[in-house]
Amino acid sequence: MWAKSLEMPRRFAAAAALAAIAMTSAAALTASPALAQLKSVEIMAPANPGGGYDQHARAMQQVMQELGLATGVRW
Amino acid sequence: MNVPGAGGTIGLSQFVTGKKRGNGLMITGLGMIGATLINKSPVSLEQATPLARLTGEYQPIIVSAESPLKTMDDLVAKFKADPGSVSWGGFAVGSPDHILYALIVKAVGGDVSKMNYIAAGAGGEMLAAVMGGHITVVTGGYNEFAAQLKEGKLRALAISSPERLPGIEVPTLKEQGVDVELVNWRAVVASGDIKQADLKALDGAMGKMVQSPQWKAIAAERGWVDSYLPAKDFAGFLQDEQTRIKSVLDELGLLK
Repeated sequence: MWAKSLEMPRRFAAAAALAAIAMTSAAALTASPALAQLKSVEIMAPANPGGGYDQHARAMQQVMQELGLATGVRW
Repeated sequence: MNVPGAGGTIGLSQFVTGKKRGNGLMITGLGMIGATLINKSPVSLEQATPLARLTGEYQPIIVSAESPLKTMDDLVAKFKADPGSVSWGGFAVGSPDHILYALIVKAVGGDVSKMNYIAAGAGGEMLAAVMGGHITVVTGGYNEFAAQLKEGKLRALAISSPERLPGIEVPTLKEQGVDVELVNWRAVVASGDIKQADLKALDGAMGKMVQSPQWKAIAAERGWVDSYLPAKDFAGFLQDEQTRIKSVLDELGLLK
């Protein structure tokens, strides 16, 4: 159980960071509509949280959001 | 979205048969090839569209800090004295973890069929099992164990890289006389019926993503080696890799 409790604060932090990023990337998109090539993207990790698939899905979501590579990136 | 089960094949099945919603993507990797072959899965990665290979990761062989095992020699001696006394924990049957152990046992002249492999899940589940002494060894991506290694709760006997990794004081399997290397690649696929224009846009987006400082910072922190291949090259790699893994699993007797 401790592993989960360790993970929670990170997830909350990530959610907060994403909320902030969502706002900045929306602004970035208005500024440069050429980047808005993709509609919403949904990323699936075929495993439980904590492993490599999950970490890659989260990393992709975070960076795609930050770079404004899609109008919405869900994971 | 997390869809766990059967080494990723439950997620794969849902991904290739489910209702498509926008640009659905799925993370995949070396492990999914083994899992679909071993589980004789009715769905395969070929039903998805290759988008990009992203990273490679080397794997440490991990024991609890309280374990009497200090080196690969210790582990091999224990296995040879009593194969059943070593439980080898990993993600799933046919996963890179399973393949790595089987390659090690084969390399030291042991009997792969006597290996007591335990599908211990991913992340926290596996950590709890090895730290509680329920499993002899575990493996996975280095970063999954990095915090506990630093705190001295776990010990790495070896790592599957060809040479020692910068900043990681863990001897390779090779320098301990076990002639095995393994890199677990991870990648992303799109749905099988994706439109060419969407694939092209996603392909471009992946190229931008892997070159960004944000992505590089995460990769460095996680110990992921850059192994980016764009859609076209990744498709070719994937085909070769299916053949290679099938023959490795066959040779190791894991497809019986």
